[in-house]
Amino acid sequence: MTSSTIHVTRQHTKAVPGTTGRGRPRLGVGAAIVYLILAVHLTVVIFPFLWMAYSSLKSNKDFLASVWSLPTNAQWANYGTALGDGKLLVYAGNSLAITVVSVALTVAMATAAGYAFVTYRTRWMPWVEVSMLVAMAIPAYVALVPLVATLRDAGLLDTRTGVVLPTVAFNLPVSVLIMRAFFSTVPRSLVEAARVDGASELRAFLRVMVPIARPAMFTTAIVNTIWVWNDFLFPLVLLNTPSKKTLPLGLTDYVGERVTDYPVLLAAILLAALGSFVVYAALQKHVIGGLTSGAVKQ
Amino acid sequence: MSTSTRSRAVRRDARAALLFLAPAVLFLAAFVAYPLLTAGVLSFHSWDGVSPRQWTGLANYERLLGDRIFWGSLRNNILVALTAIVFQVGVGMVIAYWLVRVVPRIKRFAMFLYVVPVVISEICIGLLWGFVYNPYFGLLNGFLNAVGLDELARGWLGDRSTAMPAVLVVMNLTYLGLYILLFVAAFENVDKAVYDAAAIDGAGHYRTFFSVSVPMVWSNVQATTLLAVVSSFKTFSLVYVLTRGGPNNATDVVSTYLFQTGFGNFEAGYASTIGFVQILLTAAVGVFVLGLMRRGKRGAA
Amino acid sequence: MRIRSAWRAALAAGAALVMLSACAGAGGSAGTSGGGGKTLEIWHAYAGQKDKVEFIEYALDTFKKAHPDIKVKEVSAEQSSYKTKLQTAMASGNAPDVFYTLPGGYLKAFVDSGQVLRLDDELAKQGWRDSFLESSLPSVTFGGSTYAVPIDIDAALVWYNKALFDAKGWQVPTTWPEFLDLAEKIKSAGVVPVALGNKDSWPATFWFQYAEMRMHGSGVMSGFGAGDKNATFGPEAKDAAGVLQTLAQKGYLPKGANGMSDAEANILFLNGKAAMVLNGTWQIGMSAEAPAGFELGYFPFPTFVQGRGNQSDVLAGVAASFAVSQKAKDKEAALAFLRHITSPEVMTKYVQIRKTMVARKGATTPEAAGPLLAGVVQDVIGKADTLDPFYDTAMAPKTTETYYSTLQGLIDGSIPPAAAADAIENAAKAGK
Repeated sequence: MTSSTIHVTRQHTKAVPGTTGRGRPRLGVGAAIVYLILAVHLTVVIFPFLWMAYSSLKSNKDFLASVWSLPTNAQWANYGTALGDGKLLVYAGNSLAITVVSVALTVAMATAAGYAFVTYRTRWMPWVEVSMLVAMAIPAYVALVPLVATLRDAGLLDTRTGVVLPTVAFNLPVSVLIMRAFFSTVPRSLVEAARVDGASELRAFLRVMVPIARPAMFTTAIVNTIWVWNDFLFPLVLLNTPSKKTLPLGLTDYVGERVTDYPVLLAAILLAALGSFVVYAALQKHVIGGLTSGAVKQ
Repeated sequence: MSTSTRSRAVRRDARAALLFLAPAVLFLAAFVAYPLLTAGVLSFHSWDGVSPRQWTGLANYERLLGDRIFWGSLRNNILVALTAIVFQVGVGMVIAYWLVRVVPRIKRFAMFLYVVPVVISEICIGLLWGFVYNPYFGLLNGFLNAVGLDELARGWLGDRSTAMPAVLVVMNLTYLGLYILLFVAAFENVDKAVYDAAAIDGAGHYRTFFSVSVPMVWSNVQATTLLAVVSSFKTFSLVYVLTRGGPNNATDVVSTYLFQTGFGNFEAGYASTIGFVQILLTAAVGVFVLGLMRRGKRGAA
Repeated sequence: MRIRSAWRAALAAGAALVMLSACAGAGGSAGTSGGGGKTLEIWHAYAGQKDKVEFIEYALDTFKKAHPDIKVKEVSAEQSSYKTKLQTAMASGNAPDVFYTLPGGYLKAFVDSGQVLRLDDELAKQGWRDSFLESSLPSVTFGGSTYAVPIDIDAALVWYNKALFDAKGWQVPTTWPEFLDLAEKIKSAGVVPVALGNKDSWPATFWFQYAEMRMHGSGVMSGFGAGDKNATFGPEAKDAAGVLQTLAQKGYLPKGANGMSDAEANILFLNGKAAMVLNGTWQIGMSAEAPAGFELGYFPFPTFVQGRGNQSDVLAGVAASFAVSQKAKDKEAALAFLRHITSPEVMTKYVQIRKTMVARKGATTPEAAGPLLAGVVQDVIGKADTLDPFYDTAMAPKTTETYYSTLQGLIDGSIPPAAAADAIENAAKAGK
């Protein structure tokens, strides 16, 4: 599937002739082909979601009889079952709290660090860079036992704060990487101008750089939201109290190794994903469009 | 510039850099450095995860050298990384360019859909693709039979020769959305005037893409490639839900093997060795990729 | 100079972090320390399935009612993630007071490290030990001491689609050659003879073990476990491995069996696309929502006429057990819970809800079991001379891993039977 995309890309580029005077290459055969490729590709990408949506309305009996058929009569009750006695909502609340705090901390620190990497030249900087890279490489499973011990000694085991702290630490390196990539596209002259202005370093950063960096910050926030919202491992080992469980943990309440009510499971998965969709939809507009005519232009 | 002003500037730089970096570095020191050190120390021990540990020197490392499953899983990680560079970073860049420059009308809509698989719980992705690949009622074989290619129909995930490719397809389709998102954000950030200049030059999409868009977001290309490589070396969930690393270790990646060793086999010492070597290799490959791309930029510029 | 100011900034930030965590810590611990009475932390893996949850809720509710002075803190996770959680807790010295555990090699790892309370003295009181089926205790007993109480017993036997058999006129086989003939017939009718979804590796073990039990005899793994130097799978292991490989090579197993989950294979079975499955008594629950036109039947694993083993033996073993941590603050309360969960009422409730046998004598009543399970207990288990526990649970964890991947190799043809037999034998010897 994907390899054909590459192949067609080449054809497409040949098919596109020149450009118009409007500053944007002309839409024609090329655009039509692009629409076609994207339509096919998106169908493949989105099919799982459609399948989940309609399968979540089947009875388990119907599901077992045929995995692919459409529901004969919609079982909205599956969503009621999935919501349980409101447990899913409690889990959603926990996920939301952990996600909001983690993402905010991560983005704030990553923005500052990304800016520093691009702006300042000091002798020890390469070492910090390399240690970031090493930190990025650590698989979470290696860290579990020492993390549990550390958090227990700090009295943070089985607390939401105890999940937030290592989550932030593990997502930071990649977030720094993304912010750093953004700051290196900002014209050097702009950075220097802000700094030379006589303003303090912190003020130059907060007044000039942060507003420019907003699209990148939102991008980092989206990426982090997806990761934190779906993370399973840290909440699993760091939380015990049932009322503190996050959504992905709560979801496993529906997955038995031997007997599973598939439609209810799918309904629960859809409900759980809803949160990230809402956040994504809300943040997306800050990433695309709108801000392109910002300060970077000068 | 006098030496005193320069040294003052350097000092000011250092102080400011410290201020901006301290929070991030402290977080890493508290929650990442300690686990890393522990893993390093444990890698020289024999430990079942619960009893007192025993110092065994380099024994674990010697064992690792001769461990066929480890090297096989490392090979799979390299495959994951290579396909990720082509099908996530490469294709993601092209699709993002299309969305921003060719068909901006559907940009929002398409971006929303591309992110769906990234957001959906991996449990579901595993379940669904199990059904797609199922040799009896699976969609893939159903499709092959329908178009008369019955010969090709098989038990995709259970066949040693097709299991890894099958896993790679799922991975690349699932995570692609993330890269499209990152590149759309990057391309949006490119000054429109640059494109106008290219248009006046008479450049088509092909030339615009390679000589304007990509160089303009080169630092993003660098970052995303690094991200793709590092996450490929750490990949775990999708392999685990799709095949558990089987059949007979054919789809094991280092993380699934590490998990199996530490948590399945109760060999926490050896698992730390695997983890420690994995970290070193990943970081080394990361540095290599960065260096390569810095040179690439100089070459391009 | 530069370095000093750097340190100062770092210290300031560090202090802020410590304060942050101190506040959070205070808030977090307030909840658990309150209450005053005895607290008992119970970890279990009864999550993920309605029937499991219903059972544990019943057990905990009745326990709380009977012991209002004990404050129960329940921690649950789904089976596979539970293992990760429990091992991490054990490794970092956070063992819960009472915990659910697999018997055999898994429990033994914790026992060997001195983390599990010996139950011998307590079991001796009031005939507690004698209330369990004799065959259920070896898998929780190591070096002569018992460390956990067994809960349920799973037995493996061949399940078949009775409606499909009746429609096609297929006869239930009793011997292995008859079984192979039947499989050939089923295959030529375009149906998969045996639904085997071996992604999780345990389903294939039933075939190897039954063949080994029939040809060589029961008790091999128990011998290895007890440290018997003469323990061996014998020359028959090669033939047992051959049995599994034959099934695969003759096309009696689904295509791509190693990549299919047990649940997917079950979908084939329930829809008449596969005729038989060798599985535990949980198959009764897995067949509850079968589409119309399906009827579940069962027969004992076929006999090997020339085999040295007792041909009526059944592959059956303890599936789950509960243990008490050596560090448990209130051992009285912990033991009270163990007594409660293995009491006749709670155990009969278990049978009623989950339709599997329990280790408590007399608790698997026909009324609670329902016709199918009651029939299995009477016709198959009742006639067995020995119940041979599951090899994969009895083995040391690392041995299990070799066992699993070797059987996958037999199915995909990459390992010949002789090499497979050697690999399993050596792994069992190395695993103690």
